[in-house]
Amino acid sequence: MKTHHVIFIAFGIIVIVAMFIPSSGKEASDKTMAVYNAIEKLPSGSTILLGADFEAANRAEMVPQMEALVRHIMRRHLKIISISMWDQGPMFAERILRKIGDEEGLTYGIDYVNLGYAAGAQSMVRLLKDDIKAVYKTDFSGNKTDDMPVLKDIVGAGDVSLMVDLSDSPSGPTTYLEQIQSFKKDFRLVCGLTAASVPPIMPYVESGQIEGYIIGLKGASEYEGLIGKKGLGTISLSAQSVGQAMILILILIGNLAFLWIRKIKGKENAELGK
Amino acid sequence: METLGIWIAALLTLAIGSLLWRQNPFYRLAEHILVGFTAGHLVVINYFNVANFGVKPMIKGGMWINVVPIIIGLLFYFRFSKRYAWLTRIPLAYFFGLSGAIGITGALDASIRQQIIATVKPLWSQGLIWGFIPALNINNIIILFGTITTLCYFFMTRPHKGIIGSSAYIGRFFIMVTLGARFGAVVMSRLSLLIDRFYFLMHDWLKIL
Repeated sequence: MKTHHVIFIAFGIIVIVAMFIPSSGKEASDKTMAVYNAIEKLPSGSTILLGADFEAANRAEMVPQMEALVRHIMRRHLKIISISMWDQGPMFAERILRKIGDEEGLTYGIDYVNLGYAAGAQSMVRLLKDDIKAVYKTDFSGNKTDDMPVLKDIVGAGDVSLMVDLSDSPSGPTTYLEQIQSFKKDFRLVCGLTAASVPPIMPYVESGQIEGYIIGLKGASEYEGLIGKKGLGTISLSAQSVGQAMILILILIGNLAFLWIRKIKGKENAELGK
Repeated sequence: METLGIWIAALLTLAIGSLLWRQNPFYRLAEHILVGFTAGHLVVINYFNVANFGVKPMIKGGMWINVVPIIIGLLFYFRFSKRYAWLTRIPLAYFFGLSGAIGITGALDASIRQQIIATVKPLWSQGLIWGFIPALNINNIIILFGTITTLCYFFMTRPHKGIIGSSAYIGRFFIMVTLGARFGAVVMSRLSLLIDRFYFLMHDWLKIL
């Protein structure tokens, strides 16, 4: 057994044990509160554009966020139009929308719709801005969008009251900003992001182009606390804290060991030099 | 059926995780399954893209203009011919031109103009300290100072000497802080993936959590 095997095993055991430690949730940050308030303050019946712009590899962070956000939106009786620039996101959107839609007693096609994936990224979003039905002639299940009640009052993506983009890459929100907000200044955007995507998005939040964001599992746990429904975010809080503390300790030990070895080698070299 | 799915997912998770111990046939099997599924999924997605957005509107809706992009797209296949490989430059030129036009027109406002405006912020807050000292807005000063010094670091048309050299040196520290923040965020992301897999194994598979 080598050193890295010991580290992996110790890390695994600590994270698993920490998952059994109950967590009472976490107080929401300003940015999470901004997302919550943006949804909370919309008049009932408003339409939200939901971007499912993530892949299966990042479901760990995105699915708990999506569940919490969709539950909040549906509880408020806001309409959802789900779209995606990535091909795997709509599969998760379909499962979550149908599940929570059934729980909240909402009807597909009237209260929410999953339009699925459309290729083209920037050019697709530019077209979507003015005409959703030009991009999506059918929804994810192949139903025609022409006579769907949920799309009755909305022509382009720029006409929605708010966009909630769940993205595992900074290119998700920036594409909507560049292709919709650049031309429609009243286009409002909030995001759910993987932790790794947050640093490049922060300047857009500071500039006011994005109203708020939730970060990874931590953000999901904060949002679950706000809507009063526990999920993976809250369950994993202890494991996240313990795991991060363990990584910090390992980085510290690694650096101290490096300095210590360098010091010893320096002494040895000095003695050889004499 | 759901139980079978959970068992397959659990065994594949363990097979991928076994790489942490060492290379083994279970890991390689899981890796090949992943690559195969991903490739298959992309083929299906792209097939339906061409069928739904290109061919169907043409046959059913009479949009014969779609022939043009389909032919341009088919030119990509000439890369397999040495004699006619030059024809692939046509779709490439089309893509570069289109992406550039759409990307730049959007980015000019959202990612350039708005970001410049966001950097130009008041360096003084309202009010005075002790009644006569103007209160500085530290955050805005750091943003301005960090932006200028970081831009100096990427200013390559003059040698990094004198004031430009000093600014670039300070800018390097801002870049290091940014990279540190990104590294920390990536660690947080990867830890979430690990927790999700452990949760799946213990909650959905073993049902002990």
